[in-house]
Amino acid sequence: MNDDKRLADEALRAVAADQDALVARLPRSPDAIAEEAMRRAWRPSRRMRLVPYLAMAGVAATVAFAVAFFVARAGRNDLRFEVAGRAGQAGASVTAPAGAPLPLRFSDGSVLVFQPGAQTRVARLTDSGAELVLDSGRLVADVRHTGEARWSVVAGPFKVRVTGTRFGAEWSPASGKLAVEMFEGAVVVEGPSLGRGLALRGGESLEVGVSLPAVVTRTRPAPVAPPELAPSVSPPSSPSAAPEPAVAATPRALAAWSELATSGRYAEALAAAEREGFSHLCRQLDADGLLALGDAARYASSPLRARQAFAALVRRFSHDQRSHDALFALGRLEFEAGAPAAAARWFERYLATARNPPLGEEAAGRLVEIYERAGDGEAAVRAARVYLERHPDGLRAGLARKVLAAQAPAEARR
Amino acid sequence: MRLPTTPRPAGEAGREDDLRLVRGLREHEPWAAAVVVDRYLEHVRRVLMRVMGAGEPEIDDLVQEVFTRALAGVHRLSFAGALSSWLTSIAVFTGREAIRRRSRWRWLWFTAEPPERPAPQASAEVSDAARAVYALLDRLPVDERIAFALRAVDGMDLREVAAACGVSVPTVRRRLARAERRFHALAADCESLLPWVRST
Repeated sequence: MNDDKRLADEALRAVAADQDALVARLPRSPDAIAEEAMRRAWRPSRRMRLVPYLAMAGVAATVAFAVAFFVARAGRNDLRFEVAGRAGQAGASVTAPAGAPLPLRFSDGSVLVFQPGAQTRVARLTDSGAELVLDSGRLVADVRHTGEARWSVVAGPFKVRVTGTRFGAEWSPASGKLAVEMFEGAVVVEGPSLGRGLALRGGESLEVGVSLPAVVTRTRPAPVAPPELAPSVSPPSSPSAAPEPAVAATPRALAAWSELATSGRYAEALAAAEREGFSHLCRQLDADGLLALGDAARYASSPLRARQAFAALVRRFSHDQRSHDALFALGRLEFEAGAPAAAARWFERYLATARNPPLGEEAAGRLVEIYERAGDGEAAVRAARVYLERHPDGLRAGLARKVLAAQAPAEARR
Repeated sequence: MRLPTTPRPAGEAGREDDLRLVRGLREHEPWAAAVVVDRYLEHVRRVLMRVMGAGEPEIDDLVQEVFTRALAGVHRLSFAGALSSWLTSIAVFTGREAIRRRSRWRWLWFTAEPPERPAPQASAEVSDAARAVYALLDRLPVDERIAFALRAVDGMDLREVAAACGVSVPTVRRRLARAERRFHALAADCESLLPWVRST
């Protein structure tokens, strides 16, 4: 026994300081924690929970009866579409004129723009979507996500199944090649050499031929829709993972939410994930799964859940490429939520991951915007310099130069 | 960077603010939950780290558990001004349960190894010391370990430790005396801590 020896106090103080530094560095996701705590702590008691269900059951029975009666009388309410301002007819072929894209506008708000020379046919209209045949050429689709949407584009032996997303597709009957480029959301492509179907998500591209193997690449997900769609294109999605679904906590969990997300049914995917235990999934899924879960939550308009999934990805797989994507996604979520300080922290971390990360220009540009709006001249100048050094011809180069120009007289006065 | 933050008001304003928060929590107001988590997240994490060690792999789950318990049991908080120390005591209690649970599992799997602790980004010397300190604390009875961590690592005074552990000051004093004796004896024989051991 060493009764006359003891650990120096400074050792314990160093341990405490080390812990404090770690606490300061840990990513914050207070909204997600609060949301989960409220869900667990404040759910009503079992007895109280039954009351609204019983009331709802009565209302639901009445409504179901009324709806059935109405539907029986009114029949199906299939979508309609317009071509160049005129009502389109299912089955008729349409060819986009040379020199101008041709939009097909559907009554649910979906727009499919056919590039000059493209030939198509709306083969079938239903109350929840349409089946189009792309005979040749390129289209850019903005299919409105309604939770019920069922769309498909047939190109030769291939079929692209869609429930709500933005993507481009090009079919060349001469070479038998199909190219699909995802801007947002997810589709499933079926056809020769694609087995039971290949899922594509935002930021991915597919090239496949009748006698060629499928090649999936991750692309920079810039909004490249034609002017017709430009106003509705949202900020670019973070690059997604490979198309294979993630290894989920359990096979049941995978089946319940991952498949729904893959087919673009994000609200249902999120509901399924909630049933499986969202936090549990955040602890168990691999990097691919977490990215898909975060994307699904974001598209289902649940930024808190999206934050939770992306933050888990950053925390658990800090050295994985996909955690870098999650850093950007977190920055964007905070930016969209009007939390510029938090957004700036994520974007700074994202830019620190590599010299030129795939969405570096977007992150650097948003940093310039954030600091400039916050009136933080010093940080804005620093961000503007970084931006111009890396992206002198970038979209926000003008803003960056304006920031530097505004700062120059102030520096001269000093 | 001059960006909006939500600093905690000090003094009387701070107490008034806590009162409003607690009232909001009791009425299940989401804004109140969001503010409490935002304000006390670092505090809860720090307390859990003191008790468990920096490399505790379950730390995020435990943080979630602390705030869930806080929201579920807010009606038991009699004095709104005690919000911070109340959260501290929940964090300590939650950490204590986790340590006991871990001990049971370790016994079940016949392994004496502590869980893998990813080193925080400190110097190698400090990281080694931190790992060694918590490996030694794992060998103390859980109540003594917690009292020691809060007093010696965090620097709480006796009354704060007593409040955090939910016991009296004399009880804390006894636990601390035993813990210090055991801990320093173990530390003196620990190779990783040799650079930090001093003769008294």
